[in-house]
Amino acid sequence: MTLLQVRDLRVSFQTGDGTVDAVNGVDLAVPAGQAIAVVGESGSGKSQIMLAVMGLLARNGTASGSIRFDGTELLGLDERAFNRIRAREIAMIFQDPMTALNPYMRISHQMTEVLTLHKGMSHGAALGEAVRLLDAMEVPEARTRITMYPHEFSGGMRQRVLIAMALLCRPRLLIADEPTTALDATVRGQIMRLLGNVKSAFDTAVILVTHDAGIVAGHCDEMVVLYGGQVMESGPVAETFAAPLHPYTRGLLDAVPRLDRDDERLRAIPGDPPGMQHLPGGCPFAARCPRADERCHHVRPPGVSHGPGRRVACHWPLGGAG
Amino acid sequence: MSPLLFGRRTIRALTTTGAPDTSGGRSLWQDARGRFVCNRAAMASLAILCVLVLFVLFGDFLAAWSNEEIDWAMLGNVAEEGGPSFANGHYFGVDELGRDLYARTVQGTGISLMVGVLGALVSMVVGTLYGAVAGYLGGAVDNVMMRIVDVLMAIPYMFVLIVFMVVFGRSILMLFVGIGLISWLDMARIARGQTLSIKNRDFVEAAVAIGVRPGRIILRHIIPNLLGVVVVYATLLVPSMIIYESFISFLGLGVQEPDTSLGALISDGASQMQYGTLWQLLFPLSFFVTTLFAFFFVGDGLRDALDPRDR
Amino acid sequence: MIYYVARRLAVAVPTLLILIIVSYVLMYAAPGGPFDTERTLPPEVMANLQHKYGLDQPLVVQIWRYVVSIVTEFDFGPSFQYTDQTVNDIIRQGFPVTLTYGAWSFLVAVLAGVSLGIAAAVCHNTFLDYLCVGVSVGAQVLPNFVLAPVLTLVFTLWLAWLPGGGWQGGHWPYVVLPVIALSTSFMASIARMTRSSMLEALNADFIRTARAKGLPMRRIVIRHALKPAMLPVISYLGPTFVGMITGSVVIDVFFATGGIGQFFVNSALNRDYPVIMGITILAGALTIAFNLVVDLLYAWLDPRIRY
Ligand SMILES: Nc1ncnc2c1ncn2[C@@H]1O[C@H](COP(=O)(O)OP(=O)(O)OP(=O)(O)O)[C@@H](O)[C@H]1O
Ligand code: SF4
Ligand SMILES: [Mg+2]
Repeated sequence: MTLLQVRDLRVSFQTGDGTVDAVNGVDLAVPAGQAIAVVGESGSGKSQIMLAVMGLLARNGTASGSIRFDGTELLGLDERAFNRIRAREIAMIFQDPMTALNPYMRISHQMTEVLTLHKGMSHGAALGEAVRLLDAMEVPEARTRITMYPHEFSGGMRQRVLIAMALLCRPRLLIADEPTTALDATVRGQIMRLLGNVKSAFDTAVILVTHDAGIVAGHCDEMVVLYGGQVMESGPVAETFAAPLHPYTRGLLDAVPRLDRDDERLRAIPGDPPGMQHLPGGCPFAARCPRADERCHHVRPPGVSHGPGRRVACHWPLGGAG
Repeated sequence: MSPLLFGRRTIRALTTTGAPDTSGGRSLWQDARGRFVCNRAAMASLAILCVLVLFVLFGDFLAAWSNEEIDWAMLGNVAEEGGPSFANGHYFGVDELGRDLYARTVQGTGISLMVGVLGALVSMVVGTLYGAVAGYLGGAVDNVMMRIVDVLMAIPYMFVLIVFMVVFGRSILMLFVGIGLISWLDMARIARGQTLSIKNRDFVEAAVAIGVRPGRIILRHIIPNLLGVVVVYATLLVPSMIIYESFISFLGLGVQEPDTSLGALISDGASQMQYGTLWQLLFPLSFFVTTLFAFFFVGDGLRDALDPRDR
Repeated sequence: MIYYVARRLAVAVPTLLILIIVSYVLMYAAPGGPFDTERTLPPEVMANLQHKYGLDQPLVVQIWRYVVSIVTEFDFGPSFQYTDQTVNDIIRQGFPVTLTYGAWSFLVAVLAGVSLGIAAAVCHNTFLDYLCVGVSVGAQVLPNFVLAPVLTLVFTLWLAWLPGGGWQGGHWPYVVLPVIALSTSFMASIARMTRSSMLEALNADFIRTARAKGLPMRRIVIRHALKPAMLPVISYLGPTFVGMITGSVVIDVFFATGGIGQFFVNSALNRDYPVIMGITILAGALTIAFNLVVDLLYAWLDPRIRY
């Protein structure tokens, strides 16, 4: 069953110097209980898709298209109705754990207010539940530390607190927006392991947003590759890794250090992501693509099915299956 | 008496804007100037300020009466005949003693502006030196010096200034020295912050390496580099200085007759308004408000030019 | 916490002492004594007076006596000008008046300023917001000595709604204009400050987290954004207090309330040193005490400050 169905999502921002099109017709499907990865370079529009799903776009942003969660259209939903979905049905963890917690409130208060509000729990019961979740996220001495303020926690600990906080109401979908980007390499593994457990332990679908394709393998079922606010390729993680269809995906995967490959092939994609203000008319990747020809510069490649469960938007897909 | 003319953001802009260095820093100031020029309210205010200065410098040439002359024809029936009139040369009317209000407004505006500018200058000199020394020497000296600033910040200055004026006699010189001396504290903090960021630059370290003495380094290398930011902040100080001066003169403790300032004129006007000679209040008041408004928008423009982050 | 208070006091007490000593020395150094009136007094009378007030003693002894009498008996000595009154009498007479409308002004400035600022920030870029910005920019150039005459002109001379001066034991019509005149510019500053710090707070990452938790906006503003938004305002309360104490001098003089500022200006014009000093020191002590309270409040509100 598809829990979240995003169709032709477009997000644009009105700014002082013109309109910025951050997301340009993205399709996305998240089946219940599955983990999908959304991968793309910085600025490719990953966060804006997720914020659109949460109804939290900046004031100058508008979204169009369709976002259906369990049959309910989320776009254009009023604030009251949205507040019944946030945290209860869809929860989100943000990029930077250092700033995502309120520095002026005790952790206990920040966690319990979710439960007292959404579940009508008493303060005592809420506190117990909060401690239980912190325990589950392996926060040591949760019972005593819960009364502390955020600045008394390290970055990794704060991210655990944020994950625990997101899971308080047992949402059916957890969106993790680059949960490890701001953390030390040593802590990253721990956080990814905890997130990996969430799917099974809480029976929650997970969207993992990342620019590091390396952390996707082993944690996610499907992956969606984003570039210039458009989907370049989507499909099961294993097959995509084994045989990427899109030249951009290939570039991303080549940038990941892997044991089974020679280090010399490790390279970054040359060039910079396009400015979102004046996207090129053709394929957004054309300027950096080794396979680009005349057509690529003028005609935007449509997303087409390419084998079971896989789609690609490219005039000259790499010879994979199909 | 210090309604916050410029907010925290101004101070932040000033304390975080790096002093201009020769390479990238120059374009920072050029950028800032570009942004300032694009700010219409600020440019208009700047124009108004220029007009005010011209008014002060050359207004007397247009006056039919001097500021001390008494128009005996008016005395006794100021309320009926003393109003603004071009026929008798009293463009702004006369005051209760039959003196020409136009000439007095020219003089009052001049003195207010002068006290404002000179007061800002005094505070700039004192504050910059103090802040630069504290910042450059650092350590315990810095600590003690900045603690002193903290201590002084907790004193209600206007009272001390009035005490000062009472003790040393009231004169314009005392007024701007006094006003300048009580408002150098913020300046010292800003100068110190800037010094801390300059002190580790190559050219300072080079000077230290070849054995230049601290006093000379501060005067030759630190202070010239502080100047940009400090001057900007000093401009922002001018309206506060004008308010201080007018405050004291309003109480009759500032400038002495026959000299006058906008505060003194407003005070006179206020004391006469029950007799219907409203021009006595309204002319000086509009000049005062216009001056402050102009300084306010110029200051606001400077702030935005320096710190173009979110508006 | 106690350590923190002690440390603040360790700064506050010397500050006050310095204030006392400096003002005394200034007075001492002043050319022209308090008895240099138009009529020159015979030398023996002069000497008598000097002796009576202890002015023939060495400076150090004078200061010591002065400080001791203030600290132990809260006694600021006699007034030179009002021969039958002590400085304490004058303070007792004038201070309650100034305190009454001063306290009201402070309350009005803080409550109205904060509410206006919050409303403007929550309704960012709406009519209300522009109104708030406009009013606060306008009020910025209307310090109390400008506002007071204008208010009197409108409400006393034209509309005849409110009296333009006097006190009448603090009967309310006599309090209204002083309060408006004194509070407006500070209210504007506080509103401006609240608005910008509230906007900053509402843009913070943790507010987005709170929204993602499905909290209603009202709750977010009150529980999450208010505290960080209030911190800069709280540190501005000290300067507000100083400004109001100073501004009250104008109000007292202009509205002839019989408040302490009127005595202050009178004494300043007549070189009545004990009164000037007494009032200055009182103002200093109040300011220092108030700043102490503000510091404690700030430390109590911001969990990241270590005592
Ligand atoms: N409020 C806004 N106004 C204008 N443009 C915006 C706004 N918010 C985001 N953008 C633009 O939208 C584009 C996509 O931003 P987004 O945050 O989705 O990137 P991202 O893929 O999450 O990158 P990162 O890895 O850096 O988080 C960026 O180019 C950004 O400049
Ligand atoms: S469409 Fe053309 S330019 Fe775009 S990725 Fe495919 S080959 Fe490269
Ligand atoms: Mg992002």
